[in-house]
Order: sequence, then C-alpha cells, then structure tokens
Amino acid sequence: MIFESDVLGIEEADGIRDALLSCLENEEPLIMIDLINVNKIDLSIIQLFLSLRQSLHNQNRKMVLINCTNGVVDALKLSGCSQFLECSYE
Amino acid sequence: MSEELEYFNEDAQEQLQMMESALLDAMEKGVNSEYIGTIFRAMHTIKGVAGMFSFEDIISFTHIAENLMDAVRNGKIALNEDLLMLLLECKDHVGELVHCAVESIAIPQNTLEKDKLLKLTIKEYLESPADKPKALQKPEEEVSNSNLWHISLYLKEHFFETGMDLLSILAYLQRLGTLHSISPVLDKLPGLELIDPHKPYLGFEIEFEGEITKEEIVEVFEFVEDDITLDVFSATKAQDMEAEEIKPQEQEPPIQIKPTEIQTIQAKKESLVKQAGNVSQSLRVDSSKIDTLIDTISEMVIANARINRYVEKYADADLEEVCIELGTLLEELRNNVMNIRMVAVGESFEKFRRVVNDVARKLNKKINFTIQGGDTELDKTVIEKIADPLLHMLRNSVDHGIETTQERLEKGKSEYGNVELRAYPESGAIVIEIEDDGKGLALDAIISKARAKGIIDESEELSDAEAYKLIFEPGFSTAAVISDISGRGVGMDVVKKNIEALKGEIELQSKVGKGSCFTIRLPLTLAIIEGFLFQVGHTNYIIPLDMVSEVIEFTAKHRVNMRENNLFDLRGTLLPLLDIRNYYNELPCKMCERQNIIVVKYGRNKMGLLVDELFGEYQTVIKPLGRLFQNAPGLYGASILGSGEIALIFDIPALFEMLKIN
Amino acid sequence: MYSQILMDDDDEMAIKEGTQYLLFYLQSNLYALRGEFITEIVELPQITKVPWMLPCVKGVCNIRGTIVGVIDIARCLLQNDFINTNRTSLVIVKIIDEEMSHKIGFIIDEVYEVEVFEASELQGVPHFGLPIHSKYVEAMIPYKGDFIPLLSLKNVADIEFLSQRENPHAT
Repeated sequence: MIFESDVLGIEEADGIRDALLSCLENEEPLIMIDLINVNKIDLSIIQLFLSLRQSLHNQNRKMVLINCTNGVVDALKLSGCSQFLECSYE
Repeated sequence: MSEELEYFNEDAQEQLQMMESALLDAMEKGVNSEYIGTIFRAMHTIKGVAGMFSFEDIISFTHIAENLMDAVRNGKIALNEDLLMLLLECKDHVGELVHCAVESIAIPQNTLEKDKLLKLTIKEYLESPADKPKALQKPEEEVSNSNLWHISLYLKEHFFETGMDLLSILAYLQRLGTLHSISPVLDKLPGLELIDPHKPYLGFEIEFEGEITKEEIVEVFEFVEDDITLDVFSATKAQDMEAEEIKPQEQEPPIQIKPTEIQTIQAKKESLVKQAGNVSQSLRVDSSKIDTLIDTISEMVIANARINRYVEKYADADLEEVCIELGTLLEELRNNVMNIRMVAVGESFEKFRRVVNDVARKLNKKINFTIQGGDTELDKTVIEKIADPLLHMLRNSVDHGIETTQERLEKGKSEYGNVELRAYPESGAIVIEIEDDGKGLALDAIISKARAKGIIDESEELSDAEAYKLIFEPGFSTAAVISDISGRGVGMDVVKKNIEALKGEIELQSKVGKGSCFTIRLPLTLAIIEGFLFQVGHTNYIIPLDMVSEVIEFTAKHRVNMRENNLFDLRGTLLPLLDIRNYYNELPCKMCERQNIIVVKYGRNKMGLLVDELFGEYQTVIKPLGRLFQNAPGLYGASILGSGEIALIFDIPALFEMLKIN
Repeated sequence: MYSQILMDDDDEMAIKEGTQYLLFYLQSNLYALRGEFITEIVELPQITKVPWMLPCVKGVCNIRGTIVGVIDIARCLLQNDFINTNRTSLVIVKIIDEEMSHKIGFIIDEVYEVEVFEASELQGVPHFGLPIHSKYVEAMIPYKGDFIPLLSLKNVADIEFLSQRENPHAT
C-alpha cells in the first residue's frame, strides 16, 4: 500500500490504523508499505507500524517499509526503531 | 541528620580538606600530577555522592569544576597561581553548598551570585585555554570528562494530545552530545487489532554521553515533562571510579625509576593501604558517650580506692591478689578510654596553612610555613578550644611579625619569612610554639605604648619578662596601623584568656630583628590524673604526679639555712619554698610528726612546697570546684577520696604564676 | 531524712494551688526559700575548707560524688557564724550562673516546715525593720500572724560576690 500525504501525524493516525488493519486482513506473507511521498512521520505513526509488525509477527508474516525518504529514515533511527522496522531507501 | 547525609557530609569535608591541602602544596612546591589528580578527584567524588542525594546545586557546580580540572589534567589549561586561587574559592564555595544541602537550608543570595560568578570564570578558562603549559607536560591519556547518562523515558497517556513531537526533542538532545543508543520498549504495545492510535504505548531507554548535567537533560524535556515519566541517572559512576582507582598506577612512568623512588612509592602505597585500613575500622561516636564512659570509670577508680582500704584493713592474701589484678585492669581500661579522647594535633594544624597562605597573599608577603610534631596527641576538646587562639596568633605573626619582602631583603634576610608551628610533650603538659623570624618586638616600644595607653605608670620599672607580658593586656596592640588581618579589637588578651581557661599558660620571647616565639603550655587531659596525696593542716591536697620532682624531709638543717628568706638549698641549688600551711591559713596539724618538702616542677621552674603528712601516689578523678571557687588560689579542682573525704588539687602552673606576681 | 518532707505534703498540695516554700530557722527567726530550686536537704556533711574565701564561704562537701560549695547564710545575712547542732542542715539549691547550672549548699539551723502559698499571698518588702538587708528579701509571706522574709536566691547566691578572694597576704 502507498501513502499519499507528505506528513503523517496523530491527525492521520485513525485513518492509517484502518488502512493497516485492512493489510493485516489479507493474507500476503509480506506487506510492503510505500512511503515515497512521506517526508515526515511522528511517533504515533511509528507506534502503529510497530504495532502492525507485532500482529504480523504473531502470524509469522513480515512487513517492510519501502522507498523511505530521509525524513522517515531519520525519524526511525532517532527513535531507535530502525532496528525493528526493515526499510528500504528510495 | 540522617546517617547517609552524615556520611555524605563527612565524605565531602574530607575531600575538600584534601583538595585544599593539594592546592596549598601546589602553591608552595609547584604543581604536579598528583595534586591535580587529588583536586580532580575531590570534585568528581563530591559530584558523584551528591548525585545519590540529588543535590542539584552541588552537582551542577562540581561538574563544571571537574570539567576545569579535567582540562588541566589533559594539559589544555595550565594550573597557574590565579587558577589555584580560583580553585581555592571553588573549594570554599562547594563547602558552602554542602553545608546548605546537609542542613537543608536555602542557599543564600550571595552564595548564588558567587555560584554564577565562579561558573562564568571557569567557563572563560574552559573556552579560552590561553596559556598552554610551558613544560612538556605529556597530555595524559584522553579521559573524556563528559558524563554518561542513562535516560529512561516513558510516555504518559495523553502525550500525543500535546502536539509535541518527541522526535524533535530527541533530535535536540542529540545536538548536546552523543546518543549512544536508544532502545524502544515495546512490552506494552498491543497488536494493531487492539491499539488505540491516540494512546502512546512506548518507552525509551537511552544511553547518552555529553558534557551536560542531569539538570540540563531534564531541561531538554521541559515542555513535555507533565506527559512523560523521566528518569536520568549517571551511568558514569561505576565504571569511572574503577577506572580512576587503577589509573594512577598505570600512569607511573615505566622508565628509569631510581631505587629510592621505588621505596617512596612503595611507602606511599603502604600508607595508602594503611589509611584505607584505618578508615574501615574507625567509628564515629558521640563524644558525650565517651564522657559518660569516663565518668563511670572515674567512679570505679574511686570505688577501687575504697576497696583497697578494706584490703589493707583485713590483710587477706587472696583478696589482695584479686584487688591487684582488678587495679591493673582498671588502669588499663582507664588508659584505653582516655586514649579515645586523644587526637593528633596534625589534622587541626593543617587547616592553619590555608589561613597563613591567605593572609600572606593579602599582605603580599612570602611565607614559608612549617608544621612540626603533628603527631603529638592532645585531648580532643583541648584541641578544639585552642584552634581559635592559635589562628589569631598565626595571623599576628604573618601580619605584624614578618616584615615585607622589601624590608627583609634590605635587612639581608631571605625573601621568605619563616613561621613555624610546633607541638611537643614536656613534663605532663603539651607545648605548642609559634615562632617567626620576623622583626621581633622592641621592649622599649612595648613599654612606651603601655604607658601611653595607661596600662602601666610612667614610673613603673619592668623586667623584660614583665614587659613582654604587657602585650597580653586588654587594649594592647603593637601594630602602628591596624590592618584588617589582625588587631581588629580582639587582641592577645583574648588569646591569653582562652588559654588560661584550658588551664594552660602562654609566654612570649622576642629579639628585635630576629623574631618572636610564643610558647603555650597545655595540660594533657582534663579528667583523671595520677596524683600525689598529702596533708596540710586539716586538709588533704593532691599534686599531679608528673609535676612532682622529688620529696624530701624538712629538717632542722633546712630551717637554719633558711633564716629569713624563703629559699632552701637543694643539693647546692637555691629554690623558693612555699609554706602551704601559712599561705593557706591552715591550722597546725596535731597528729603530724614531721614536715616535708615536695619539690614541684613546671616547665623550667621549680619550687618547694612545705607540707605536713605525705600519703603517696593516688590515682584520682578531677571534679570541678565550680564557679563559686573560680578565684581559689592555685587550685584546679577537687577529688573525692576513698573515704568520701575531699582533697583539693593544686594547680601548680597557677601557683607559680601567683607567686611571681606577689 | 529531711528530703522526705518535700514530698510528704501531697495532701496539702491537693487543697491549695501554689508554690512550695521551705520555712527554716536561722538564729531563731523563720525564713523562707522557694522550693522549686531546692534539690534536697541533708544533714550537714563534713566540710573541706577552701583557702582564701570570704568568711561565709565555708568550703566544699561531697554530696554523693558531686563537689558542692557550702555557704553559711547566717554569716552572709546576719554576720554571725552558724552553730553546729544535730538539727543543722544543708539545703542544696540548683542555681544557673553564666548559663551553667550548678549546685551550692546553704547551711540552715533547722528545717521548720514546707508550706504552699499562692502568689497573691506574697507581700512587698518594707524598707526598714528587717533583721537582714532588704536586698536579700524578695517578698514577705504572712504566716500564723507573723511575716516571714522570703529570701531572694539570686541575691543570696550571688556567685560574683561570693567567689571573691580574700587574700590574707595582700598588703
């Protein structure tokens, strides 16, 4: 799936959770989240990604963040979450 | 004060004292890495311990001071005289902060200002390490001065609603130092099915290093402080302290060590080990407990004396044996307990160095201050009470005694004025002397001054010794100009009074152009004495045994030789003889068969006392006579004998003094 | 044996509110002292003379291990030495001087009674007609149709005065 917004924050959290939940419902072994348009994320969004990862982990499935912009990579590194969230650069 | 707090206080005081000694040594003997290390460690240790109590003011100040010392240690800043003075001020300031913290009182405004000022000054040093050390002081291996902090951060329920972004805060923190690691804690995080996107479930454990205080870290999180739980603690302590313990040994240059040096190093290590041993064994006891113990033992000594009287009466061999054993044990016990109160004067004397130094600096004089006999032991209370008078006299010596550098050079003296403080035991007393090689006191100047002040009459003729005594008179001050160092109203009369209150005495010897020497004699201790018991008229008297030189029978020969004067012949030496019965208006002793002379000595003086019956050695407890008898002539106190009777104890020094006056 | 007197008067205490006073004889006249400073009353013990003191300072005695100075108040107030009888007693009082508390003993001829008086019963000191100097009297207590001088402890036990040295050798 792909997010269109430039900035993802607490305002978007509800919508993103619903979107991610729908990913959880399909049975693909690897969920790819394309963040090519996203330049900034905050902790509430990172928290949702981590939560998704946890749910997938229980089902032996995986996720990956693709096309991460510098802003996203920095945020993940800064929060120490890059070790949990696999991501590929754009 | 809680036990922990007391520990903190003692520890801090000790560190500060060591720091001061190191600073003063550095001023006198030049800087070396040992002193630098000591100063650094003092600040570092106090910071560490203060951290345990969250004394933020102390932590923040010692942190900066520690930074400064670190820069010195790394050779970035030279430890010159100005900096040493600054560090002395820092030491005092930390002492002040510790005091406030321990007594849990608010820091006074002027201290706060001083805090700011000192911090600013230190910062200037740190920012512009202008003068590099000249010598090739090898930069000792890089020891980062920055602190390792562990930050524990948990988001509270409403965190996201604040609109604050934790990531930007972390980004800011990153600029202040190095984020070694940050680990999200995900235990509480539910799966996506259960999550409430508006609630934070995360926590972070952060390892952070930077030249930053705990306070400053907390400040970083200031805007979100209500919505997070934050714990910052130093991760430095454990590793760092270990590292420092080991380092000094590593640093010892592995090159060309002469055998003698090895010995000193060895000795030093041994003394360190010894010290460590002492520390672990020492126990701080409320001195009132010791006083109670001494009182109890005193009563036992009296009771034992009573038992001995019965033993003599019943002449039972077994009983006698037990009593002798008991007496020996009691003696031992008494000595041990008395020893508890005895303290080496050295520690107290060391503190004077600072004062001498400060005064000399203020007056622009160069002083070589030496301490001798620091291991001489004296009763703790006596030491405490003698400190102020000594301080005053030392100030006097530096201020009035020692000439200015200019004057000294003109007189062909060495540029450095010598002031020596020494202590040594002498016949039952402790002697403390303060000697300087300054200008000395001119007798005629003293006399004319005393006349001008109306202390003596114009016509009065004085011996040298009497003239020197004038400086102890109230209102007498020899300095032409009263400086702010000494002579601000409190004079030598106060000093003399203080010393007399301790049953001590003081005298002055001086030579114009050569210097002056004050000699103070103090009794060893206050509570129990070995006495010599005798009778005059109907009264029992005791003289401290160590002042008894010898005892001789008073014979007709003495009487004939004495004629009109009060001198008697002791193997060719004429000594004054005091007839106690006459002097104290005692009635004649009916039972007494013959009279005796007790020869007493004190310092360099000797005299004979004409007394009646002698009873011999007697261990006794000194009891005060009370203020009612404060003017009793030549009497120190009283003692209760085994029979319940009272014996009066002679104050031999006072007696000498009185007789000289009369 | 006398020390019991002070405690035995509980019954009276219950009836009358006020302070306890010790009434005693000094050369056949009654005098009073405030009870609050009196720690005990004992038979006159052996006294050890201390040289060069005023005639009213008799010396020191041993009160259970404490050295207590002995004052002959008859000598102080009436200029007559006390006469030792089997009723002569020593009243031990605790005084505060220069912030230090210590004990001194007053020699009295005989203990008479311990009484309770209210403060309102005390009356002023007349300026003349007293057997002793008025500075030693704090108040007059009416008792059985007579007035008893209440001694001022502060002025009787004036350490500054009593500790003076009387040097027989001074010229």
